Amino acid sequence: MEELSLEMTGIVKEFPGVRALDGAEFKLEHGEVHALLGINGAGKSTLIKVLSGVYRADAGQITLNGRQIEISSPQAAIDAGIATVYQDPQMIPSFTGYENIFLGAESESTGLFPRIRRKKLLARARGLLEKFPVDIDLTRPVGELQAVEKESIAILRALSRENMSVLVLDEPTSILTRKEIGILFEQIRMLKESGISIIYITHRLDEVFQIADRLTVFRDGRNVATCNTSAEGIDHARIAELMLGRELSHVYPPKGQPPDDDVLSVKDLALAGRFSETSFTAKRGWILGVFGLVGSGIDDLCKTLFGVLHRTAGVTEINGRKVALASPADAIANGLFLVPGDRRAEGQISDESVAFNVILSNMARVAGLGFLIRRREERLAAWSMVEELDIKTPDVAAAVSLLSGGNQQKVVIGKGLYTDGEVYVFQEPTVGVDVGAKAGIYEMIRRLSADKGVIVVGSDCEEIYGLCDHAMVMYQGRVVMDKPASEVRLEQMLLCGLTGKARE
Amino acid sequence: MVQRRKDISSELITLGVFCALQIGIMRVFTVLEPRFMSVDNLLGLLNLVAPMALVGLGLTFVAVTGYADMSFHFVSCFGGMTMSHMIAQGLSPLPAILIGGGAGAAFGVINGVMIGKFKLPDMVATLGLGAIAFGMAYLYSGGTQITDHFNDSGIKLLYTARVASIPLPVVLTAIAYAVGFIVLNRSTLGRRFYAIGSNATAARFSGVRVERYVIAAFVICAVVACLTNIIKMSALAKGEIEAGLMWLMPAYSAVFVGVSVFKKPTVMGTFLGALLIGTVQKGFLLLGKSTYVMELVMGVLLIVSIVVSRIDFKEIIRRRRFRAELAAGGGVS
Ligand SMILES: Nc1ncnc2c1ncn2[C@@H]1O[C@H](COP(=O)(O)OP(=O)(O)OP(=O)(O)O)[C@@H](O)[C@H]1O
Ligand SMILES: [Mg+2]
Repeated sequence: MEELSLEMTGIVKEFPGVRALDGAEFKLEHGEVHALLGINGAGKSTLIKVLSGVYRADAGQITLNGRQIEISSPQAAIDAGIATVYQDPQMIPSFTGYENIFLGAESESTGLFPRIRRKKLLARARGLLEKFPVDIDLTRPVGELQAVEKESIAILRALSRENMSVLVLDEPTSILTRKEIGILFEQIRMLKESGISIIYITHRLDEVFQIADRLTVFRDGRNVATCNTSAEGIDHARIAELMLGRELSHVYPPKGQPPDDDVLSVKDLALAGRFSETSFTAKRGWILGVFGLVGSGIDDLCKTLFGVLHRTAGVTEINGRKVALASPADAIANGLFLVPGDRRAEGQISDESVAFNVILSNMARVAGLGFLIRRREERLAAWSMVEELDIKTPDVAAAVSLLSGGNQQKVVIGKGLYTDGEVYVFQEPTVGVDVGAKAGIYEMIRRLSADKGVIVVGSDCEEIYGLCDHAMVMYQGRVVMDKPASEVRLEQMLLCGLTGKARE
Repeated sequence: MVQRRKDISSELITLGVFCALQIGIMRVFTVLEPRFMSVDNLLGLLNLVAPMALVGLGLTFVAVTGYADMSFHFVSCFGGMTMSHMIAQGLSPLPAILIGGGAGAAFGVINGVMIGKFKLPDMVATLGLGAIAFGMAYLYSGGTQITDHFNDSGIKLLYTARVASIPLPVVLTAIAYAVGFIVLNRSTLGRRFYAIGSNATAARFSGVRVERYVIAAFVICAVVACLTNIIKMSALAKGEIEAGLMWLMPAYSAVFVGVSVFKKPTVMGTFLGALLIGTVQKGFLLLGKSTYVMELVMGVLLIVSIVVSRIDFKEIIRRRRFRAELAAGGGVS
């Protein structure tokens, strides 16, 4: 038998209240792209963190290139040739892009001549950019960059490792746009050619067939299947079934009823330099979908509507009443809630508990005398959200940072639902959410739309198309399509978002 | 499989270590100097701890929102001198105290606006404003002391009065702590302070009016520092310009010792910190050591507490337990 690149056997990792890995096995061959799949909380990221030295396994063995090794720290993993792009890359916001890329690895020529060092590093970083040609300014502090740019920096950081023999990518494409995904896939194919093995985690099943040679499905911290992606009978539905342990009947809920009255009506909203006059309405019984690529203005549109950015023009009415939304606090007070696109930066208070986060935007609901928190009510409120959204957590007192990525997203949605608002704007609502849970969230959004105004905004065209009753497309800060969903096809919508031209 | 298991919380362990340390220190001092456990000395300890705990409490609010304030000790000089000036002008104690505290509030607002609204770097901005406050305190007295009317206005009562035979400063501190605890641990306001400290952007997206809370934190810190210093001046029976400078170290030490126990700034933690520091100080005073030795020991304490705050005891214990299970041949599943 051919020697394996990497073999992990009997891996156990337990956290308080949760056994994240329960005797997991994982085998990686030389020069293959191996997709690691599983629902939220299945243990994928935990396995990766054991492999890359972030966590130490409670039990189990790791064999790399035929030699059993002990990975006691992230540095040890890097030295062993394992490069990792984490699901939640840690960076120093005040450091520039290239400084973050070489963080901890800038050892050569440190100290005395920081200027020369910086120049050298920048040159090396530019060299990396030739291999992975994304469009970012590496001299800007990472804190000022968008989520997609941060992800690219994380990938560049992994690619900068010399002597790499295994590359791990934990959900890189949940944030990247089509363009970067194309570049990334190109890069993956090249690395594979040169004999490097790649572990690829994703919730986008079509990518599995595009890029992976084999796949492994995890459930409850154990592998339930490993096979070739070209094997007979392996398709979306089958993989979803393996992940969930049950059949998935449909992803998108049925379309809505003919619309009722307007809940939200926005006229000529604009932010100079970002997007021009835009008008739209959200009606009861109806979902408005807004599709646009990153940079098309959808992000600014959401933030301006929500009062984070200050509009240069426009009028917003909620239930026929004119409202001035100068801040998110105003927006929430008037019944408008935004589930933001960048969950980690804008959505969640990671260090605090699930309960803390769920009630944060509407604490009055559990407060006595207007300001004293009744902790029993708080727990009950949080538990009811956990049940409603099927959030996997041992306890509502657990810190959000300890939840798996997809479950963190559900906490942010739960915080929104708890405000019991009138209008909901969901920006990229299912980032990092598994197929089964996605269907659950879509259904919840559909149910919500029965008596609230609902707008779904995002760069995942299929999702917007599958969900909405009325489709809007933005391109370079302008609305380039605005018609009932029944009158457009998916390809038209996508093309329109890519080129800005609505062709018949 | 998802399993549930009660783990001893890391906090409890650290709390245990902390109590052991506190008792240990008290024992050492008792051995060195038996008078340490006398009623007189313990009462003195209480009097020493109370003001340190009080400034620490104010600073806790700023620390919770994730900022540092390097001005409150300077500002407390200004607030104290303002109060002294008012007394010297013949004002009665209560309005003089309120004006002194109000002066502190004004500086707190400026700090909060600079940092919360204009996003200036907190260390530098507060240090700058602190220097201004200290300079302004000189204007009152030209650098000397203010003693007029200190003996006949009744201001000294602030220090000497007793409530049910407990010194008034101790009572005031206890009340402040009760309020502080309710606000930070049990109220919606506290949640917002903590949310800002943890992720200000997400707090804003969640409907928290971040600027207001940042301003509030700096105001609370400044006002509490001024009041503490006013109590001190009434104890000294004079307006002494540099009296407030001494509050910087104990306040930060108290907050950080607290962080080392609870992993984040808390009311409870700051109190325990002040108690520990006060005990050490009192011990050294009793042994007749110079204040320089005291400073040195406080510095050591501060650094040790910062180091301890980074240790994850829970993880260590969990690993031990697992190794033991494996060694016992029980396996892990
Ligand atoms: N540091 C931690 N402390 C406590 N529990 C944790 C920790 N990290 C992960 N967990 C728990 O372990 C389980 C597995 O999490 P993991 O992040 O590996 O899931 P995942 O498969 O990557 O999911 P997702 O697709 O949502 O990213 C989850 O139940 C999670 O809550
Ligand atoms: Mg994950």
